[in-house]
Amino acid sequence: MWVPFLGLLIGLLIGTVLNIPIPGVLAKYLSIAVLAALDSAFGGIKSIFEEKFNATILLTGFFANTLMAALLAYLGDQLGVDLYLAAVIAFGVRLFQNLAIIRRELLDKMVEKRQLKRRKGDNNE
Amino acid sequence: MNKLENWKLPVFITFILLGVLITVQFRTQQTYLRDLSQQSTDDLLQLMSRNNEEKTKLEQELIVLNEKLRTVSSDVSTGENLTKELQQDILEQKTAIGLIPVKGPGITITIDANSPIMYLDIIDIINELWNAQAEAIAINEHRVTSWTKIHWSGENNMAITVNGKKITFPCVITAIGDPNKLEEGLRLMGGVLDDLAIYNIYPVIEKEENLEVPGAEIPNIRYMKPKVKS
Amino acid sequence: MLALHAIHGEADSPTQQKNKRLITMIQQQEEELEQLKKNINEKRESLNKYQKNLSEGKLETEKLQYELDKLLVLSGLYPVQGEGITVHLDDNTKGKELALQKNPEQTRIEDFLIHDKHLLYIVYELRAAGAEAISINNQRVISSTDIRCVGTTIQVNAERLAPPFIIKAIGDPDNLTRVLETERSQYNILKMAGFPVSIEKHSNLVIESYKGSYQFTQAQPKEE
Repeated sequence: MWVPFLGLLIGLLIGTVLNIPIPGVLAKYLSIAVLAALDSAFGGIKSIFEEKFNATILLTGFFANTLMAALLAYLGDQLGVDLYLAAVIAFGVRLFQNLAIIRRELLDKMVEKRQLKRRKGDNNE
Repeated sequence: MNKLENWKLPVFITFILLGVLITVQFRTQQTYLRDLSQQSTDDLLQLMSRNNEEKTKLEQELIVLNEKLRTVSSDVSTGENLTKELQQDILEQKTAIGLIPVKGPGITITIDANSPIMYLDIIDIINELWNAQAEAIAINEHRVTSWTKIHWSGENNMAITVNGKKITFPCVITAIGDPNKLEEGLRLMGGVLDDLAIYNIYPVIEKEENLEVPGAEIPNIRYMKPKVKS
Repeated sequence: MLALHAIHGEADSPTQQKNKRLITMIQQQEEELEQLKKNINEKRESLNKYQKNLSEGKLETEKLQYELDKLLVLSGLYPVQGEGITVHLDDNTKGKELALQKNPEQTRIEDFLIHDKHLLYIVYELRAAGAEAISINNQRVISSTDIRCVGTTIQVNAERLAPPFIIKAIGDPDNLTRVLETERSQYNILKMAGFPVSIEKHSNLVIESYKGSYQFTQAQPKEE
């Protein structure tokens, strides 16, 4: 489970060192892209627990979602419709759901481990 | 089960990308506040007008430089002309640095002895004067250059020193430039004079046609050297 | 993040449209100014080379050239190098986020930004400590350099600068550091308020030349 944390840390480091400047006008699209990226990343973790993990879906989904979220927000601006709001709600809701599922899975695993230990302890006596 | 074992690498890569994206967004957000798109119309107009002023000054400088280049490159008789040019350049540089006394129109700002003025206020006034296109400034008998030390001394932070010497009151700040522009710059709403008024400091501003400021002493340079061309 | 979204959510009002036009014009102006400064710098270098070539070999002109060179170093028209320090200053974003979380009503964003006055007072403190050349984000600070805020942007020499701010100063590194670290200095006040600031000593700093104009329209040298 340390794999995602390590990856995140390395990513944060690379990002800080690279210091890529993005023109201020795009800031808003960038923030929705980050939300989409978060959703994809945690969706990937959830799929591991559900034993439905698919690397292709994760990676293509990551790029596709991130880009599409930004594009949708931009399109919305051009049309004068707050499309990005829809994206915020959609990604946000799914993100919370995924996090809840992951939390439940982790807790279940912890409980299972403890039960196994206790049973082993019982057996040894 | 096979699918599960391959999860580590893609997840690793995904989270690296996520990390990069997050830092880029964070950085962008930080500087977004300072971005042009966050400024009011008034502020944008002010920026534009300042840019126009600067453009005029730079274009003028370019004209002068081009003229000098033309003279120098067509200077066949390199004797007298070159000497005169060099002497002219030296005079210009000394003027630019502030080593030469200058005269011209401008304003005087007089601060009386009872003002609870601090050295930061003096710095604010001088900064405002430069912004209003002042060409030479002096505090009492001290010409202000890029080595002028404006500081404080004593426990109560109240004694103001210029180049190590306590300034005497009434303190007169002389600035040479366009008198109207200089005064306007100080009287801007929410500007220096308004700030000083809060502390009951009321400097007296007078416009004059013929002011003089003394030259500064040449600074004692011990650390700075021209950059060696690599 | 969501709050920022809410602000952005408005469709383009007439004011925003006007602002967009102004922004485009300002960006164009800034490009032109950049180009002008580049030209000026090139011409100054050419002029200097020409004069040096011509003045070689004749004692009188060589003496004058030598004196001129020393003055050019002082006036900032030459890039310079020497011992000194760099001072890093940045907005207190972390502090701002914490304050917004704890008490959004009473948090004033300006309290967590670096202002023109901070830069101005630190420059003067460096001068009081004997700094011989100073630059902010590679903008050379000369005697007539002014530092001011327009909205939330900071202008130095009419050039718009954004954080992080890196102030370079050539002088005695120990003395410069000592003055900045005194209790009542502007640098220390920022540090105590939680701003991300730091000082580094260097044995060889390079400070860029001044690329602006040196025109005098009102002032004239006084005849002796």
